[in-house]
Amino acid sequence: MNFKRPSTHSRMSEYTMENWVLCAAIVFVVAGKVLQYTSAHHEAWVGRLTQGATPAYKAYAAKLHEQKTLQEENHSISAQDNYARWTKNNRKLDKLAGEVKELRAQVLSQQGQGRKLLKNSRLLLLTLPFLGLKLWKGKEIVYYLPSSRLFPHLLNGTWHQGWLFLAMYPLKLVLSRVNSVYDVSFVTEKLTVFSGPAVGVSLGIWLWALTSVLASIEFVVNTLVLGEKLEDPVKAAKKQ
Amino acid sequence: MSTLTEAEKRKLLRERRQKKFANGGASSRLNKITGQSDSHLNTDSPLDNPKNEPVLESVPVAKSAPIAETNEVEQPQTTTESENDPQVQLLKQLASMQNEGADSTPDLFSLLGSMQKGADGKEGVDPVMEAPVDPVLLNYHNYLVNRLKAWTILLKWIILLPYLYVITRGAETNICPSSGPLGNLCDPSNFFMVFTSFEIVATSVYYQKLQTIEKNNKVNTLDSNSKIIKIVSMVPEGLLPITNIKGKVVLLMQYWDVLSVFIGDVCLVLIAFGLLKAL
Repeated sequence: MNFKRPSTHSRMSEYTMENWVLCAAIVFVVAGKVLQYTSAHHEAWVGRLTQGATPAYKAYAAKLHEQKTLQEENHSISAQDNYARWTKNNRKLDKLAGEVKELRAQVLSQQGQGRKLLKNSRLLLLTLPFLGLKLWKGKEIVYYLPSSRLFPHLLNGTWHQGWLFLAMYPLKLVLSRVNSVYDVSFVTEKLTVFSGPAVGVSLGIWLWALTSVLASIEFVVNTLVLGEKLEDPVKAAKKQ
Repeated sequence: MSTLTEAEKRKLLRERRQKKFANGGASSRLNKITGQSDSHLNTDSPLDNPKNEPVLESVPVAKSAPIAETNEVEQPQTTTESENDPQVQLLKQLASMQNEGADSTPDLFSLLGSMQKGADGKEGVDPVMEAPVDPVLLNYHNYLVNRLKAWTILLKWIILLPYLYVITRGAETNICPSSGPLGNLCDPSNFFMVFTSFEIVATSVYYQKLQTIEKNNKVNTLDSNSKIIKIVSMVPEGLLPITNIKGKVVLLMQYWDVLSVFIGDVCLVLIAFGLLKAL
């Protein structure tokens, strides 16, 4: 099995992978986290992007303003004293209510389109490229573990080859048994299963481990530092 | 009498009435009802009688007299008696069951089982889990469980990171002696065994603390929070060819909980090795 030997002159060069792949992977992970933390602001961004200058939103805002002024006027005048004006305003208000409803529906559909646009752009710019990178470079080794004796063979193979190893290892065992009876070497040659001395961590496994560790750190920080303290409801009831 | 006209009849009646009033006979009917004159009427009022409430009493309440007014009072009393009878019968049956259990098989477990059936009824299986949990208490319980989990993760990592440093840089920095217990600890071949033992100890301590919290708050964390358990508990018993499906799912989820904690720590180990290589 071909793998690159780590060089010894500097610590950073202990990473066997090309720098751009590692940097791109880190950028994708960071971008994902940023989007996760700013999810509360996504609606505001969508609003600013789609509503600011659209004619439908402007017309909606204008009609809403007109409706509000008419309502204020109607409240200020007496229905009995200025009956004609009051009823005229009322008729206008009814008509405006219908128009406002229509325009609101248009604005909401635009908002929906904006949300869809954000979702699609996230898919195209983040999710798909990240997936592509993982599929293309996922099997490359990021760094080597200090020793091959740290983990059992099954885990060593998984770190080195990815999750596929867990499926291929039992298959290889079965085939090697079969090979002693029938010649199935044409199959076993194609199955490259880890068996080498040095154990490395592949990109796919490293990204999985990184996201898991980040999630744990988030959980600890959110719970212990940022979480609000709750009082025991039984004790609180007794105090009262 | 038929020869008298209507007017004459009315006049006759009026005269008789006046005579009666003059004699003081008008109050006789009233006195009969209230019992001031010698009367055979029953004057007991249903309001005076507390035994009309549905309690376990089979003592007959009132003497029955064939008078229309008292019949209505009688009927609720007879119905309570009829209600009381089944309850009395049920208690008698339960008492006999207990006695039978004691006589036929002197088995503690069957006694406990029958007592529990008598006492709790349907809730005999899991009284804590069947009762709905107060949302405020559940919130507080989840808060405590999350804090326990976070502290466990933090403390485990604080212990693991120096150990990982020693494993990777031990040879270079001369921390590890070549022999002795510390030397064995620093040997990479022993790493997985030490790591797994540490995980087992930490997980046992965590589960002990979790059970203390669950006992204090009387809340089962998985039962109350897991959507999967809620869905599975709605599946009726005979639908799938697996008995006690909820119990098995709960067990599986507990094992998965332990495994996910272990996997989380293994991920830390991998990342820490990478960082220690870079730094």
